[in-house]
Order: sequence, then C-alpha cells, then structure tokens
Amino acid sequence: MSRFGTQAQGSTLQTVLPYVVSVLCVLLHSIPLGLTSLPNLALGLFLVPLFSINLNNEMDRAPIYFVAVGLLADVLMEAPLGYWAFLSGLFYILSSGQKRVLQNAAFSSHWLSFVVVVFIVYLAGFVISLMRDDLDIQFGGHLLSALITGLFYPILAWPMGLIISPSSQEGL
Amino acid sequence: MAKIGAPQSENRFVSTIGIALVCLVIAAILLFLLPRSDPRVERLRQFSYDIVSPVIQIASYPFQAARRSSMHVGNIFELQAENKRLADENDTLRSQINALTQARVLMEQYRALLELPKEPDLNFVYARIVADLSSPFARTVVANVGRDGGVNQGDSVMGRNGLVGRVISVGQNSSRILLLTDFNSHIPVLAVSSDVQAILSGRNDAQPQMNFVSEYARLKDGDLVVTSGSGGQMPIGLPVGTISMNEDGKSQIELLDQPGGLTYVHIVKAQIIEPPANVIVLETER
Repeated sequence: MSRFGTQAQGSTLQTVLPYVVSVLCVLLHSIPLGLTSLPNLALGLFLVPLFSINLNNEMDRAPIYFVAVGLLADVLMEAPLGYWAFLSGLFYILSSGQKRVLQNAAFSSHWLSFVVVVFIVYLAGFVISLMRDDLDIQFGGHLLSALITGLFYPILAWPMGLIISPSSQEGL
Repeated sequence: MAKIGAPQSENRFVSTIGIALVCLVIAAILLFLLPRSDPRVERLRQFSYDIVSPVIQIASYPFQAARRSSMHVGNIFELQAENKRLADENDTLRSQINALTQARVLMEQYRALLELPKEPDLNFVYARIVADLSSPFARTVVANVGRDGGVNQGDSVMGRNGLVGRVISVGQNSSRILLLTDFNSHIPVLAVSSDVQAILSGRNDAQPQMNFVSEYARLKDGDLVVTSGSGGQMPIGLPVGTISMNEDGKSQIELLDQPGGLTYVHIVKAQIIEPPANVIVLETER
C-alpha cells in the first residue's frame, strides 16, 4: 500500500519543493504557447502542489501560504484580485477535511479526492463569476478546466512524490 | 485508549482552519470590494510583470524552441504550396505598386489643393511577446519593451497584418497589451467602403463585434475595417479586419491578425493632440 504524502520531516529540498513547484505552476500559465483555444481555460495547476503541501505538512501558517499563492495567481493570471486567493483558501479547508482519510490511502484515492475537491472549488469560482458583472466565464469551459487540472495531478504529484519520499511509491 | 497527542492535533486543526477562515474573509473582501480596474491593482500587476517577465522569458525558451521545430517540420511539407502562394502574391503586389504610387501622388496633390494638414508619420517600436496572460478573465499579453523603450499607455499595437490591441499599462521594461478580443476592449473604427463609424467591442472570443452602428448604416460583408482615429488616441487608418455578417444580422469582425499566436508586435506610438493654447471664453448675451 502506498503511503504517498505522509512522510515525516525531511530535508530542505523535500520541504521546499512543493512550494517552489506551486509558484512555478503560476508562472507557467503565462508562457505564450500560441494555442488559440487556451484562453477559455483557467487551469489551476498550482493546486496540485498545494494539495501535496496540505497532506504532508503540519505547518500552522499553511493557509496563509495558500492564499498568498492565490493572490500571486490573481495578479499574474489577470483574475480579479481575491478570486484565486478565495478559491485557494476554500481549497485548503476542503482538502484539510481529506487529510485523515488519505493518510494511508493509495495514490488513486489521493487523485480521486483531489479531483472532487477541485470540482467543488471550480464550481465556487463559477458562482463568484455570476456575482460579478466584469467576469464572463463559460460554464462548459470552466468545468473542462477543472477536469484538465484534475488530469494533471498524476503528472505533477507523482514525480514530486518520488523526490519527497522515494520509498513511498511502491503502491502505484 | 486515547492517544496523548490527539487533543493537541485537534487544537492545531481548529487553529489552522480558523486562520484559513480569516484568510478566506480577507480574500472575499478584496474580491467583492476592490474594483478590477482599481489603479492600485493595475500598478501592482504591472510591477509584478516587470519582475517576472525576464523569468517567464527564460522559462519559455524550451516551449518556443519546440514550437519553432514543429513549425519547421510543418513548413517542409508545405514548402511547395507556400512557394506557389508567395509567387502569386508577389505578382499581385507588383501589379498594385504602380496603382498605389499613382494614388499617393494624387492624394498629395489633393491635400495641397485643399490645404489639409498633413497626417503625422507613424513611429513604431518593435517588441516581443514574453507572456500570454489570456484566460477567461482577460485577454492580455505582455511585451518586453516598456517606458525605457519609449512605450506609453494608450499606444496601438499591430501584429504582422493589422491591429491587435492597445497598451494599457507600462512598466520600466514591460508593457501590458489589452487585446481586441477582450471583453473590456472598445475602440473606434470605420468601415471603409460603406463609410460607417462604430465601436469595436471584444467579446472574449475570436471575433469582436461592431456596436453603436447607426440604424441607417448599411454594412457590407467583406468590407475592410480600419481605426477611425476618433478620440485622438489611435492613428487613423490602421487596418483591423473585415466584416462578416452573422445569421442574426449582427456584424462581427474577422481580425487580420489572430492575437492567439503572436510572437512579435510593433507598437505604434500615440499621437497626442495638444489642447488649444488659448482658451477663448465666449461672451454671454448682453
């Protein structure tokens, strides 16, 4: 059975890695890829490392970091200030609820849990867009963004897990 | 038997959730009380882009290289067809040179006869797109030239074939460009052959729409749309796109340059119209 995401205090790299990856994911969104269909998608790839941080760390200030990354995403993704910050805070609360359940769970359970939480967070984002006149978010595109973000979970979380706790990947 | 550490971890859980709730409230206050176009937010965004644009530029090299490679592969297969198309285009352009020269001479003569003031020459600044911030929230890109390169807020931005947007904020080394497709983009335009003025508004999709068109105006399908220069912010005559009428009879614009795949742009410096030096106060009726 995998013990993905439940390692004890590790080295500095193991601690810092998810934080660095979350910031990189926000920056990655700004890279011009020349894909004309992408503008309708709001991928929250930074939620993947945040999920990992929440499951692994016992830091009291983790929610502050979540909201700070959300604010960075607001600034760099041209979202209204507070949009991703609010959703990141909500993501923290929802994923904290999963923490105990997922302590000794397999990777697939982590993935499923992430997908469910991401969908709830994106639905909240859509509700916020309905309350603001200056936001024109399409429901279909928004749900597709949630789905793609969910699909990115193994791509980002698995290699990150290998670095954080190499011995915990045998159950994949 | 209960674990000794359990109540402590309970307390920690409650305290972190408490912190999260406080953060959530602060984020909600920011979200609902701070307007999106607040100048402080705009300054914060521009300041952030000034810092991160070199990082994004470096990070985008592998993606750019992959994109170029895939384009090269595609080009090799389409080389013959592309060659033929360019040869045809060259023939057409050659045949138009004489007509254009004649038209230019005639226009200069008419201008002199009518004593019309000469339109100022356009000044360009070339820039590279380093960040694409397009998302459901906004359609903007960041160029790698800012105040140091002579870019000012309000300058028009052209792609290879036509207008793509305008500069909305300028930093030291970067500038943010609001694309024509953005929900908040509104620019004055003119349909050339039907001589109809309108406001071109973005709709967060590929085709902006012409608004505020007179009810008596008759727009033609395929008509060229250029900037009208109304308001004095944009120069007159920058090509934008062609009209395509949809099923509802509404006029959309097929942009000459799709802003999605921009790599290089040229920024047209705005021609600021000075206000009159002496204000004439009209005498009221005696």
